[in-house]
Amino acid sequence: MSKTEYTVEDFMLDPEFKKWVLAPDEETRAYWEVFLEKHPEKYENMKLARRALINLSRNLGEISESRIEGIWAEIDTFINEPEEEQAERRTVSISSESTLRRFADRQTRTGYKASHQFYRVAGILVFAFSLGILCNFLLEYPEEEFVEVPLVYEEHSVPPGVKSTLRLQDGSRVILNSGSTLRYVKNFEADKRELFLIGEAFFEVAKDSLRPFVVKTGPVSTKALGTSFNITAYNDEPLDVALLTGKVNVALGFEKSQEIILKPGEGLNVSIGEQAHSKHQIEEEKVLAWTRKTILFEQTPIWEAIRVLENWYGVQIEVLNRPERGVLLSGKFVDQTLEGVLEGLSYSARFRFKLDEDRVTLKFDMSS
Amino acid sequence: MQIVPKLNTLPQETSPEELWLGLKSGDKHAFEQLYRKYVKVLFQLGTSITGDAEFVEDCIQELFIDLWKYKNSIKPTDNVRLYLFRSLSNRINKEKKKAFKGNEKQRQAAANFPSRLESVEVKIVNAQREEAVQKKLASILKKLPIRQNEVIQYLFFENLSYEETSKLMGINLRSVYTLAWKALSTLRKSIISVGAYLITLPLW
Repeated sequence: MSKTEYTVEDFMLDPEFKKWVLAPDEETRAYWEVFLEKHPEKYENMKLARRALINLSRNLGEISESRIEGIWAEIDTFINEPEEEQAERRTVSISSESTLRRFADRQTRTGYKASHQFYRVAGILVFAFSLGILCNFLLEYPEEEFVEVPLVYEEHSVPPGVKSTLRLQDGSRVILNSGSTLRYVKNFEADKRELFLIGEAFFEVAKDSLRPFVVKTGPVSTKALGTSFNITAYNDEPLDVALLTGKVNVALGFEKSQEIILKPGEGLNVSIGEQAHSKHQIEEEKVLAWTRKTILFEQTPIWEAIRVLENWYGVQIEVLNRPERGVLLSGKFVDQTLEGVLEGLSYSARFRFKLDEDRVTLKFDMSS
Repeated sequence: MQIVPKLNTLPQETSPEELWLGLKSGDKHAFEQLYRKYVKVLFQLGTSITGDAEFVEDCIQELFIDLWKYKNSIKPTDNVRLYLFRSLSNRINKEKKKAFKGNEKQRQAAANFPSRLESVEVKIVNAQREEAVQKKLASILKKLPIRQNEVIQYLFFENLSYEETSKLMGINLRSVYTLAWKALSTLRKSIISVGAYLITLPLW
């Protein structure tokens, strides 16, 4: 909607207008001065919107210290009960009024005596009659004529050992790696496509310049219009965004927020704990290996390799005699069994391994 | 009633998110600190929306008991305030739906608890506020349907963004905007009548 069509309400709801009225800075001041000059017919609406905004008030209730303590005492009694009693006990209302109300309810209930059939029938008739009136009344005056549209989320979770390809409603394609979760508002909202990712996924974004495609991974948001990129964001590991085609904008929501633009062939590594980041050149083969059933290790630290293998095959890996200097692993495995991969790695890294269903033990040679 | 030490007077300040993790792991002190930190704002928000202090106190009590009961399954959050607001809002709306239109009667019956007038925060020196308009707007706000009242509380008094409000109320952005628009429409119409009154006054 253009601001020239704004009603008083629209002005009040415009965050920029609100800022200008309540906490102006030079920029907003300049903007609205120019706007007013160009659209003098909006003067009355803006004046009223301003007046309503600065006077907007509410009655703020104050809770007394004694009530704070009273409510806490009730909660405290409850949480100090043994667990099994907690399950059975119903919450007891604390207010004196509700106690009285409950008492009154009970009185009327016990006071009721089914003394006469006549009163029963009469009662039912009166009840039915008043129900009719009530319905009529309700149908005539619906409380709210517009319908609130609820937010419905879709969630896709892929367990370790499995990969999954999704086609989103807007035509974008997502490949989810093992042990990853993707969550988004069903069919997306009108003005953006927002997704929440834990783990790793490759995105091929369908072009839609009106609805930016944003992938949120904790404090980091990656925004794209129409591109393909890969994100690795497993919990407790550095985050990696790799761009293959198009352009993305990565916003780091740290204490000092920052925006970084990636060009094709560039990758961004973010350490969330240290709030640090660095750019690097990516190799497409390496980034997309996982989408092509390929495990690729190139001087990969052992902890990362273990996470990859645990996820890929859905196993738990235990390491014995872990070398203190750390081990870097290299190797390329296309559509291999876990045994094949471990055998390939074991020669150069010098470890022995044992497979026992979903448990794997790696034992490094002490001499190495 | 047992005497409870006041933990909010302790010098060190633990972040709400850490307290939340404490609650998840069953730490009673963290839980109590959470309660003491948020009971006032929850009460303010609740009474602003419903005008019924006793009802809000009941809701807060049940909210915290449920938090404790289900502490093992609560989700981690990076915004405890928003989480609690959302829980309170859900509870109020659920109870009010159950109470079936009884809210009008209840609201008037329970209006006598200490309260003060609070206006939208203004960061300019000479705001020229008009007391009559402020009072009028506060009284009209109180009479709005609950969801309309709620959306004004979040957007204008709690200074939440449209997105936060949408997530808190569990409705999409367009619904937030429409609700707020309706509420403001009622509110600003009431100003015109105050204005007319002010203008006619000097003529006497």
